[in-house]
Amino acid sequence: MRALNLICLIVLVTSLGWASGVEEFPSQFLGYEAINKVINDRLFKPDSPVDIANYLGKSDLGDLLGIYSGTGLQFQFQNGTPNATNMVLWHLAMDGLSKDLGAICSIVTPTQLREKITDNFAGHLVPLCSWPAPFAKSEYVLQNFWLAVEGYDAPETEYLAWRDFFLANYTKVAPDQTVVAMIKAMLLNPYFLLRK
Amino acid sequence: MSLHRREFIKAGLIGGASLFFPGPFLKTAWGRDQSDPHFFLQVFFQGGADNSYLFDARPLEMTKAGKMQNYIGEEPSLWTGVNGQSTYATKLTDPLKPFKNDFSILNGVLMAQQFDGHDQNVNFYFTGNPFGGESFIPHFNLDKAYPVDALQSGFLIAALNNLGSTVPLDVESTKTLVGKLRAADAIDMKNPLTQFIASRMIENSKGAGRFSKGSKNMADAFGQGPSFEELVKNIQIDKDEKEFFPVIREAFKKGLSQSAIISSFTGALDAHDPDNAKKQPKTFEDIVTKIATLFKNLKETPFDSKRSLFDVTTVMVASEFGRTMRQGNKAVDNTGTDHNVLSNSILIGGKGIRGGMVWEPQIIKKVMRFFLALIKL
Repeated sequence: MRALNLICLIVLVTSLGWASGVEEFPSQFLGYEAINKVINDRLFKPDSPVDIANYLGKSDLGDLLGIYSGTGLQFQFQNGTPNATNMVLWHLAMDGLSKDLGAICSIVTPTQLREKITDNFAGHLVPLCSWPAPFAKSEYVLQNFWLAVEGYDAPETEYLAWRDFFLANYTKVAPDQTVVAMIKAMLLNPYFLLRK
Repeated sequence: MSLHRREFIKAGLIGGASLFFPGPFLKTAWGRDQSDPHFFLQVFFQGGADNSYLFDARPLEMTKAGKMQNYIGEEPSLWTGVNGQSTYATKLTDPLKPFKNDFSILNGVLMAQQFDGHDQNVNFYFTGNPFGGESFIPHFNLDKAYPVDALQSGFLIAALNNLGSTVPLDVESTKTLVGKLRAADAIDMKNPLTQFIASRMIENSKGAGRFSKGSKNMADAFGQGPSFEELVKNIQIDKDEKEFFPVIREAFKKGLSQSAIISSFTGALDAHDPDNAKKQPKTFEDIVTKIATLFKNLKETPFDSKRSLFDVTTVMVASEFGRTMRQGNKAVDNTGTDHNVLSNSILIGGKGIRGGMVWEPQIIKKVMRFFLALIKL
C-alpha cells in the first residue's frame, strides 16, 4: 500500500512539474466582435451603433481583427495573434473612430456622431472641448474621461501614464486634435485590445 | 528483421521524395538568403480528391469487371516520367501536358492511417499529427525575413496553432487594404503620440505572463507597422481583378510574404453519393484548368530580369487523402467513393524540385497487376 501511495505521489508531483513547465500561449486580441461591443456599450446609444469594420472599407478585413470561425471541433478564435497586418488594421480602425469622435469638439467639421454618443460619454467628452482650459486639465475631467472609454480594464498606472503624457505634451494643441489623440491612445492600449 | 508493408512504403516515400531535391536545396535555409529568394505555394483541395481522375488512374478493365467506378468511361493512358517510372493518367490531365517537365508526381502517399476523417488528415498533412499542431508552412519564415508568413485564400479546416502571422486575404480585401492604407495617415514612429502608444505596449511586455507576451507581440507588430504599410501601398492589383494570383505575385515580388496557401473547399470532391461522384469528371476538369493556369501564370510572370516567379517558387498541389475505388460494395455504375488514406497523390514542382518525374510505391503496381490477374481468372 505504501509503495502504491509513493507511486501516486511521484506521478502527481511529476505531472504538476510538467504542468508548470507548459508554455503559456500569449494573449490574443479580444477580436472584432468583442471590441465592437465594448465600444458601443460605453460610447454609443443602443439605437445608433457604430461598426468599427466600416473604417476598414467594404470587405472582410474586419475578420482579420480576430473572429471565431470554423466548423465542429475546429471552431476556434482566428486571426487574434497580433501581427503586422491586424495591428495596422486596428490602427486604421481606431484612428478613424478617434477622428470622428474628436470632431465633436470641432467647430469647423461637425460630426454626426454627436447625436449617436450616449449622454454619459458626451458629459465626459464635452468638458475636454475647452482644452487646455484649467478645468479640462483637471483630475476630475481627465479621470472620468479615461473611465468612460477604458472602464476598469486597465490598471491605474496606465491612466497615470496617459494623463501625464497629455498634460506634458498637448497643452498647446487644439482641443479637437487633443481629444482625437486621447481617444486613440486609449483604444490602442494593450489593456483595451488584448485578453487579460 | 521484418518491415511492415506500410512502414516499407512510408520509408520508400521519404527516400523517394528526397530524390527530387538537389543537394543545395537541402542546405539552403528558406528565405534567409535574400539574394536567393525562395517562396512556397501550397494549393490544397479540401474534401479528399479522387486521384484516379488525375495521375493515379486505373485501367478501364477494372471498371468493366465491377471493381472500380470510372465516370469518364475512357481508357487512361500511360504518363511516363523522366525517371522511367510511369502511371496511368486520364484525358482530364491533358491541359497539364505542356508543364510535364515542370512538376513531379508522387503517388501512394500515406496519410493518417489510424484516422479517415477530413479534419485529422488535413491536420496530418500540415503538421504530421492527426490532432493538429504546428503547420510546416510558417517554419519557412522562422527568421521573419518576411512580415507575413503566408497569405491564405479560402478556408482551411484544421487545428493549426502557429498561424499568428498567416493572413487570410482574398483579392477584394487586398485591394481594399491597399486603397485604405494609401489614403490614411501612415503610422509615424517619430510622432510623440505614436511613440507613447508604442511605449505602453513595450512597458506592459516586461512581465512573464500571457498578457505580457501578448503585449510584446503587439509591440513588435506595431513596430513593423510602417514598413508593412509601405510594402502594401506598393502592391499593384487591377481594380477589376478577381483572381488570387495577382495577390501572390505582388506579395512575393514586393517581399510581403514568403508563402501562400490556396485552399479550395467546395464539398464537391467529397463524393460519397453517386450523384456527386458522377459529376467528378467536370469537377476535375475545373481543377486541372486551375492548376494549369497557375503553372502558366507562374512561368509567364517575371520575378526579375532573369527569373520567372516559377523559378523562385516551390509549388505543391495536394488534398487530404485520395478516394476508394467505390463506396462499400455498391455497383460501379451507381456508386460514390469513400476516404482512402492509403493512397494520396501530390504534385510538386518549381524551385528546388526535379520536374518530370513519376514516383509511386511498387506495391501499387503489384496490387493492380494482382487485381487484373484476378479479373482474367
